[in-house]
Amino acid sequence: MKKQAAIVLGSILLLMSACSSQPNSTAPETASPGPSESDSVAPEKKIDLKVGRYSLPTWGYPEGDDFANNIWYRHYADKFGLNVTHEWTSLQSEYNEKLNIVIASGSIPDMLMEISTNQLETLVEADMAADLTDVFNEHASDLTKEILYGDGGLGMNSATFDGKLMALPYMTSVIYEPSLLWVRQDWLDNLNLPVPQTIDDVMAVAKAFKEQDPDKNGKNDTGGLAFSNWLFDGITSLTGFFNGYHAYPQTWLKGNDGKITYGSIQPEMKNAIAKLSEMYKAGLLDSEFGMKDTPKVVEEVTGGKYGITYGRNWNVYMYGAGLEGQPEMIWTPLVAPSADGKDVFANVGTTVVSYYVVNKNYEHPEILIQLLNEYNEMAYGPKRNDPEVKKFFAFEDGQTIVEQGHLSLVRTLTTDEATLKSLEYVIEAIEKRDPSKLDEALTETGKYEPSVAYLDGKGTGYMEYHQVKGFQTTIEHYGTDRLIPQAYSGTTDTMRDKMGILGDYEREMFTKIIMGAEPIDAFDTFVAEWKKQGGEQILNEINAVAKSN
Amino acid sequence: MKTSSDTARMPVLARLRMRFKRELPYHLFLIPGIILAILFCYIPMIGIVMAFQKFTVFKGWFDAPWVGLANFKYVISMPRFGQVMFNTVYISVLKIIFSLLVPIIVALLLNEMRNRKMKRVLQTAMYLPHFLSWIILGGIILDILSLEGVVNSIISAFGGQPIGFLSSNTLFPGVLITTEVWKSFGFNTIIYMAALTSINPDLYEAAEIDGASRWRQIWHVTLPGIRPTIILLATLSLGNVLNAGFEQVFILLNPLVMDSGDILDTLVYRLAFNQAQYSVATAVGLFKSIVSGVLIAVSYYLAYKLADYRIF
Amino acid sequence: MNYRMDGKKIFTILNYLFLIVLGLICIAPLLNTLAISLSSASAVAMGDVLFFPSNFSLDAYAFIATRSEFLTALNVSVMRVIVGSILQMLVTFISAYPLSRENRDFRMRTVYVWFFMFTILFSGGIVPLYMQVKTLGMLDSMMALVLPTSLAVFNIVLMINFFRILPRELDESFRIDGAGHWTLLWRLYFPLSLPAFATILLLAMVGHWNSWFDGMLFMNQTENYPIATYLRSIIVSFDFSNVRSEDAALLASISPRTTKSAQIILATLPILCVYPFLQRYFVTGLVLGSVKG
Repeated sequence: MKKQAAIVLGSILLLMSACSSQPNSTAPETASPGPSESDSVAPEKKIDLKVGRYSLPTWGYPEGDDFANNIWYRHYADKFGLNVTHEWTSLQSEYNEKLNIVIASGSIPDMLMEISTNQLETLVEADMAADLTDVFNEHASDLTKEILYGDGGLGMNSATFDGKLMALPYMTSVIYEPSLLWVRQDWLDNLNLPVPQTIDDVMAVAKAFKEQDPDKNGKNDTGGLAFSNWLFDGITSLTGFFNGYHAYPQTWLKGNDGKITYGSIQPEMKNAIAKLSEMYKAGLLDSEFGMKDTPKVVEEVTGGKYGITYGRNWNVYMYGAGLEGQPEMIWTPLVAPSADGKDVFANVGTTVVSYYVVNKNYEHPEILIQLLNEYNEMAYGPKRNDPEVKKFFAFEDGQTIVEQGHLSLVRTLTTDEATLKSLEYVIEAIEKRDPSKLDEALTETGKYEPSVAYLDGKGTGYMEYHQVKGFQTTIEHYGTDRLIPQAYSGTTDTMRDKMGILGDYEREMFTKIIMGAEPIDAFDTFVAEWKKQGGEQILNEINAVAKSN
Repeated sequence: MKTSSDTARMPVLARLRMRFKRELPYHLFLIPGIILAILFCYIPMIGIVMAFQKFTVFKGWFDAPWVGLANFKYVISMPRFGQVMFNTVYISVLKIIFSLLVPIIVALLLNEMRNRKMKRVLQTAMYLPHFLSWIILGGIILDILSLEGVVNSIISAFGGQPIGFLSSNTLFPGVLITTEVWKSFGFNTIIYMAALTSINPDLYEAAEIDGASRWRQIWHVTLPGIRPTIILLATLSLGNVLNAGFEQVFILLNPLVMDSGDILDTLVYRLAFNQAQYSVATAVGLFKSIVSGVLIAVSYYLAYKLADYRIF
Repeated sequence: MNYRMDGKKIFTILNYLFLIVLGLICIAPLLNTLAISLSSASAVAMGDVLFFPSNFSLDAYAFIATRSEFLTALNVSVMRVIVGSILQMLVTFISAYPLSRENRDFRMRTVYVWFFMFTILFSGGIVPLYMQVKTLGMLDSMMALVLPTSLAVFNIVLMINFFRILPRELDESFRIDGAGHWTLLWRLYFPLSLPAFATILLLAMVGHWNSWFDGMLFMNQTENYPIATYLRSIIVSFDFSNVRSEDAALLASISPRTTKSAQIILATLPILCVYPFLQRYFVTGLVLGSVKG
């Protein structure tokens, strides 16, 4: 018996020692001699870079490549002597959670990619982020500076704490963001209806789609205006509808008195909600919209249940799956119709999507800047149309084109103006079937081929062409002039504590009022409660910050 | 073997040594479990201090700023907190009761089935919902219970009005409980079936000889035979009294039924959404642990005193 | 007599009916998922699919066969279930034995029992657990998936109760012959508690198969994800509020419902086969004649 006990004990101990702890190391600089492969600037020292990244299972790779071994990493090794390894990877859907835990545990990799404002603030507060002010000034190329400051410095400002630059922002072009009205042209044609131009038109079209069998299949299986219970997403949302009433939900607005206030509590919202409530009563909205999230409604639209909905320029990528069962499906994007004939503006988000941060203990913070320089140069610089450079974005692997741009460690979109011009060039190129116009464009040139193929009746490029149509509508009407940007882009203390529940309260009240469970005047109660439950406090904090800037 | 009178004549030290020698194997058997518990439960338990701190990044468990009960106060100060607590207890108590009753009834009914093959097939079928996570089931339930879904189609076919199961505050808790029981009863049925097989068949014979009908047999032989299992599962499920099933509620919750459906965990989730508020989550976890602990301890002693049954 | 026979028959018929309907209700969602996985994407989007495939198509399964991540994840889970279940059963078995003794035979028993019960009541949360696993160097290894879960107090308590049902006379007859505890455990208790063993083994295997959170928490490479974690990532909806234009083209290739359904079916099938296999052990019970004396 004792012998058996000893065996049990012994094997447990053996098991324990098998998983001995490993020392936690930050990236040391290893000096290894030897020539690198290319004959350009061949650094002799190899620099290690450990990062944590997300991947999507739908990403494709050219033959022989994978996430850890791709064209960008090889390029980094050649040009900078950089040895990139993944300390951890996760799938995109849990990237945020994983980041939170890694940060909370107190030890982060050398660089963190695409982190949120909250995560950045946490890192800065915990003194874990490197100060990039000097390395940026020293190493950033002119192009990089131009792009990062393209919004007048708001983005860079949001990454600056106490005058020190603690992260690089991943900039975006807000001109992409207006919420358009998408209508099924084939349904309009079937019912001999013109495109809706006012809110009343929207109501009329919704009614016609619901009652007059627009898909001509003899079944009463279509509905009116489609949107999900998230109310303000980038697809199947209501944002465009509210814009028609000059209301800007979920936006920090600069009021006429110079003070910042919140879009969702403005009186204009009440008018829009009243109209929606009217439409609900008339049966023009899904009576169960409150229970359906965006993916569910997207599925219904794709399946041919709805033909009128608001959303951004890229929406048809999601509806394209319906083409198989409904080959006649065509969508027309429109400017959000106005309620009173006056020009419609669109609210857009901040110019920064996420941040890149360097670990304070990493010995080569300048690498981040260099990588960004490299990306900007290749994506937006004069050599961007070289076939050698194009490989890094759209790689021709036999018959298929494999997207690779997202594999770059550091990315950014370009400025609003540059994007606008690019879109104009691309649209012109497609209209004139003249690819040489594309040389001037900085971005979205990949839309040319598919769009032309579609227009020439080749049967492909449906989704890209629709996106181009969306681009056209967006820049023709909204451009850079009719946009309402966020007047504030940071986080205050009370925002951190209360914004989540305030947002939920907002959605709950709006849903109830639209569905008639509460009267229209409940909106006023909502505004008062919103302020009382922390909204007032938040606005005070924001205005205090704004004043001091 | 030494008799007790022999033992009584031994000096104290020798007696202790003998007991030690006799009990040593028991201690040794427990060592692996103890090591595992220390490594993965007790050492991480230090993290409970987060409930009293403003924790953001780990720099040592005792280095984060102490805020006392502020985290608890923050949660309690949320609007509708009282309603949320009520919902949590109401929903989970009903869930516990039905999750206890239904498997027992089904196990008894299954036991009456003579056809062994059928029994096995049905048991497997009933166990199936357990494998599908709420992410999947949620979507299916939304479809089935929607105004145009299967259930309402059947109701309409019988001439009734479609019922908004998922949009009514009166019906929503019922939906939560029914679907939860449906998903998990197969699991518990198996445990009861296993317990049923260990009842001595002689007892049934004896009862039958005494002229007892099948029902009386069940009442006097079967149920007492699985009574320990029932008490055990009941007590262990008390540990869940503040849980109420986060994943299920989260998927099925919508703005119209917040009043009756919002539970403690969904509230905390919304508070911490995107903010990584581990302190708040730990505080609520601690609160739940204390309540569960008290309930389990009380039922343990009640079962011991009243039914002479040691649950564990 | 006749009356009783009829009553019994009626009861039996009703019983069968009720249980069969119940069984059907339980299978329904899986049937629905199966049907979706075998239909074409557009039929599904139009809402045409209930229990039978519409526009029969094996596209979804063909697609999965080319995705190595799915198969890798399945692999990880199989490994995890085998190693983890065996480990858990061992720990459960040898821990339940001493804890099922009488208090007078084992003085510290109550202390130990509460020591273990405490662990299912109080927890420090995910951050401390993550850090502990990291300190032990187990991140990204199979150890992280099987070691913390090998202590399953709920199962130990179940086992304790099953052990206690076994009569003490059996113990004593063995011990008189001079057998040690170890022998007692494996020669006597194990065969007698087969139903309990099978039940708890099933619980352990299903637990491991469905466990997704620890996979997400502890695995650093997506190649090491168990199937439950992988599935969940695929099914959880894409965040539409922040979609950037440059990601738009990739949206089109996100799996439609048919592929998700196919993955669910493939991921559920293996574990479903375990139950019928273990079923036969549930019936054994107290068969040995040794009790009658």
